[in-house]
Amino acid sequence: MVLLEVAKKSLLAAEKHLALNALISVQSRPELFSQVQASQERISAGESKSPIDGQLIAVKDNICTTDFPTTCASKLLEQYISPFDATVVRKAKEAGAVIMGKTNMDEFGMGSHSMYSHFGSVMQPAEDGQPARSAGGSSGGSAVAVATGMCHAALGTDTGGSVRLPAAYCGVVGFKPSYGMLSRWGVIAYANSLDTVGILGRRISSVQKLYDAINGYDDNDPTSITPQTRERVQDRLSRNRRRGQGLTIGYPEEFNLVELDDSVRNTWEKTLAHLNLQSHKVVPVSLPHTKHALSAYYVLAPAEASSNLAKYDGVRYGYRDPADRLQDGLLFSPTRANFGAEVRRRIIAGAYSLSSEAIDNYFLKAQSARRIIQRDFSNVFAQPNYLITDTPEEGRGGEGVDVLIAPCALSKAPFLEDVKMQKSPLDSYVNDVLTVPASLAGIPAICLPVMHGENDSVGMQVMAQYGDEETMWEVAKLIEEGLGPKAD
Amino acid sequence: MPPRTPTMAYICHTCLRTLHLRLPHPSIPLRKLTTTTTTTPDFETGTFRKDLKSTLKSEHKSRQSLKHSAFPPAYTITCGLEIHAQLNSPQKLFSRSDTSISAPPNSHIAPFDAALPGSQPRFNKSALLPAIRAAVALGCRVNAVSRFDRKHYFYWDQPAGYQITQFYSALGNDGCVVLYAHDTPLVGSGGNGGEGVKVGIRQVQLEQDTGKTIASANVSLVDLNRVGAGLIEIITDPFDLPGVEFASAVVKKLQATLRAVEACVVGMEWGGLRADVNVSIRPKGTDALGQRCEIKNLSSLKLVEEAITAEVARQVGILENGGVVESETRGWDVEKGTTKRLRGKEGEVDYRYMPDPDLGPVVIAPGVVESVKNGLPPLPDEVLAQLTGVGYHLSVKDAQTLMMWDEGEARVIPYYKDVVEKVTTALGPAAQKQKKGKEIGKIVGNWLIHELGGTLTTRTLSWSQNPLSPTTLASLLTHLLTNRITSATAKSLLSTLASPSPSETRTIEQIIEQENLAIKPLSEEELEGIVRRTVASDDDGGRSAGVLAQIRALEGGDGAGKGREKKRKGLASFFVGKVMKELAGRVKAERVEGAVEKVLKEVV
Repeated sequence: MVLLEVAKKSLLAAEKHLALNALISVQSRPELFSQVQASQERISAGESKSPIDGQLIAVKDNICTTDFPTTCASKLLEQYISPFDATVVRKAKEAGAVIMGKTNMDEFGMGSHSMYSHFGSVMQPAEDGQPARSAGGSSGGSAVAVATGMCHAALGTDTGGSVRLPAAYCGVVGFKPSYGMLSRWGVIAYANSLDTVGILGRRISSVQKLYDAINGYDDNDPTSITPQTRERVQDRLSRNRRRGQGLTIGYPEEFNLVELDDSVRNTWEKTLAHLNLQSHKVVPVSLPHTKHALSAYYVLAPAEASSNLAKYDGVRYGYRDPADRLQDGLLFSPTRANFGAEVRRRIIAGAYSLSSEAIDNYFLKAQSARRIIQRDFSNVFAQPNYLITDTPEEGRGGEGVDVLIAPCALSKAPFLEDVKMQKSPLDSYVNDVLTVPASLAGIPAICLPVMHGENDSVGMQVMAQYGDEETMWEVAKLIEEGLGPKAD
Repeated sequence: MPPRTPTMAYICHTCLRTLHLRLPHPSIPLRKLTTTTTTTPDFETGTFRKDLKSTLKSEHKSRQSLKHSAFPPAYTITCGLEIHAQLNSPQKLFSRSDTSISAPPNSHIAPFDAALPGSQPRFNKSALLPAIRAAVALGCRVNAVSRFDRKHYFYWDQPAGYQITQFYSALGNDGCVVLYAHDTPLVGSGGNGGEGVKVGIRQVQLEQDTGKTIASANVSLVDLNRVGAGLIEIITDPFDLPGVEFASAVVKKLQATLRAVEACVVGMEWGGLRADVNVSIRPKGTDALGQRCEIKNLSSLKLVEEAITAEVARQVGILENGGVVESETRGWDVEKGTTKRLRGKEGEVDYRYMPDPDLGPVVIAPGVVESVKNGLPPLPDEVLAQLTGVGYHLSVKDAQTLMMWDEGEARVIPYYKDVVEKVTTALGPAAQKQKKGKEIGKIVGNWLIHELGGTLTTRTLSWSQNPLSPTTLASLLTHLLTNRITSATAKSLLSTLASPSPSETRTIEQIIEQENLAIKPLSEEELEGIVRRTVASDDDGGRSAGVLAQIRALEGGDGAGKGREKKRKGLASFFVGKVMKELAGRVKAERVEGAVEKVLKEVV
């Protein structure tokens, strides 16, 4: 009864770490065990549905499930139960995975420390006598659930780094696929053009297994990449991959910020040196417009958010304030005042940047900045973005790089109390500076822990050209094998 | 280019073949209420009845005032229209739920329609074809690539908090609609009646419909069935109004055009078409347009006229008193028969238009527009020309009556043509000999409008419920025109056939045969016998005897000439009528007249 033992151990971990606030809903013991039992019987009978059959999966609470409420950690959706499963959840279930619970997060995915939650802050387990550290955000609950052994892997969402940053802070693997690979049907939108479902796990292999189970085209998601396009992109990429020779690994100079902690910079260098030792070429590259990425992101994402969150007026579902209009006739304002401070801040910022007086200077400018940033990436990769072009010559070819390696966070996880002392909420936005560029470009990126000293790790990020998860996995595994934490 | 590549909605020739070019007509329910709401709220009936009453009262009041209203001569009135028309599509614009007119409330809602968290739009190509037809029929340039944008505002019947529309790049631009003298007499007065007056169409765009609110005193009930149904919004250029009827004529013409190409088939009375009207006035002789005010959500032609009249009066009042017209959004106050301020410039809603990040562009393959254009049914002006031409000989008025049946029911004209063709074929060479004013097209038109139309109206049947097939009507008229039955018989037959009983399976021939309805070949002697009996009858309280006495008196008198002859004829026709009645119209009147004359000569 191996699976059942694992499940029991996971639930014990969940109970032990209840105070970390990683979970908003948990599956009942009997139901969970009966599902695991069923998987075990299938596996014993040689009828395993997939490599994740019977594995416990935690799901971020902005991904719709019929078995649990889907709250987005918001008062407005505190009681909301979706009538449908998100496609990624449905696929995970069909592969035999057991959904063990829903994880805590920043309200609607807006935050970098998972502390803007209606259900209270997520925390990392405190190290002897020290205060609790930030779990990172917004998928902090998923990261802590994985780090503390509550589940085999977890689903998160990554809009500007929301899977990678918590992974870096909690010392686990966090993967954001190319935009359009994993269906967003049933994923409650924060910023549609940037939102991706991401996966967290302790090892690359567990992330990859879950990814294989839920990856694929979905007719319900208009931004899902069609099978024909997937095939074409894969075909072009595989034709022009460097085979039987060393890879070219780039490190973007613009990511070497003054604000980088020494431990982070040292680990970055160590990682590059490790790959160089394995006879891969390591070269510096320039992504000259990276400095605009953060501001472009913080215009575009709130703009889309202000639009997406307009539906939460309490009329059809969710929380409704007893008084739903102000004296001056403004509809639903009292209800919408129940959003948390950070969500309100971004709705207001987004509404402003879309207003007729500001749209030219903010939203449209940010959109063109985004295009320029994407071009930056295509200018350094060996292969072009086959979503946009079908011509291999548009890549850099021999001079280009196969992957980019950069840190994922400026420092190790800060103490939560320090975060709360920050003068401006904008201070937290800076944390996304290293993750946002890949989000704007829509390219795959994976954050994995690289050991720094005996017990500490630093999150290192591997980014690849659009659709080239294969090369990304390859390099990530080289790093994991050589520099990652010891296997359990 | 952003990294996202939402699936494009690409329409090509294959789509044209696989999608239904002719979409099913909605079956329009039988009974109408006078309000735009199709559901009678059965709660708090008192309030509802009160509302209804005050609506009727104010409609009456404003009708009265409208009669006397003409635009003040010192001003030029300019108007711009935004027409919202429901697309003839079986499914909503971005979900798989069916469109419906009279389904029980909230029975056609997909997750996306209710804006459930996590749901996403999915563009239905079936909504695109009627929209392309509309754009082509309105002479627009159909853009190869158009896009969807979100228009934000809060309202409970708008579940997402935004409406998906086309703001930055629309489906069609730069078209026009032309009004002729037959559309409104106001065109003639401009002196260019023959040419017509052109009203520019600035834009034709796809967008989502909203839900429907059924309001009463304490609660507002929301029905989401209509949410997300496909609309086209047609935005006209501003145009000068020679009279208020010109504006409603434009709406009517647009509606007729949309119906003719089956782009929009639901009439205004079902909320299928709504108009926003921009009105501005300026002193005659000046060029710069005055400040405009927008009047929102007018759901009938009458309301369009009333609202413009009232708004012009209001603006004139302001200017005459030395005031300045402010930019405002106004609504129509049913109670008062005036427009009312909804919000001023400072309260203007900033819709914060944003490209929809989930939806890709709509791409129309080269040649598709051409195919649609070639397959387009004739437009109203062409139909009118045809119906009033040598083929059918209808008067403009009758042709328009047929064309605007049930607000432009598209199946009336084919029905009419079918009947004409069937009758013509049945009559054979005789058909060529129809006298002027008695052409088959004209006769069929009269029967359709007056007899069939009258019967349907009496029974409150819509055209779609017409129980008479073209074959049946054609057969009936053929019997009439070949003198097998009299006109009176034909009328009564039509009335019988129009209330079909399931047991009635006989053909017209069989009914005529079995019910003995055919004109009897009555011999001259038989006819004269009947006339004699009638003239001599005393079963009518002595009236026959009285008439006879008067005729005798005339015969005896000396007064000569036309006066006497005329009077005598009038008196004789009394007997003709009596005989005709007795014969139930089975003998032609001319023969009866002859027989009466003959008998009278004997008797007097």
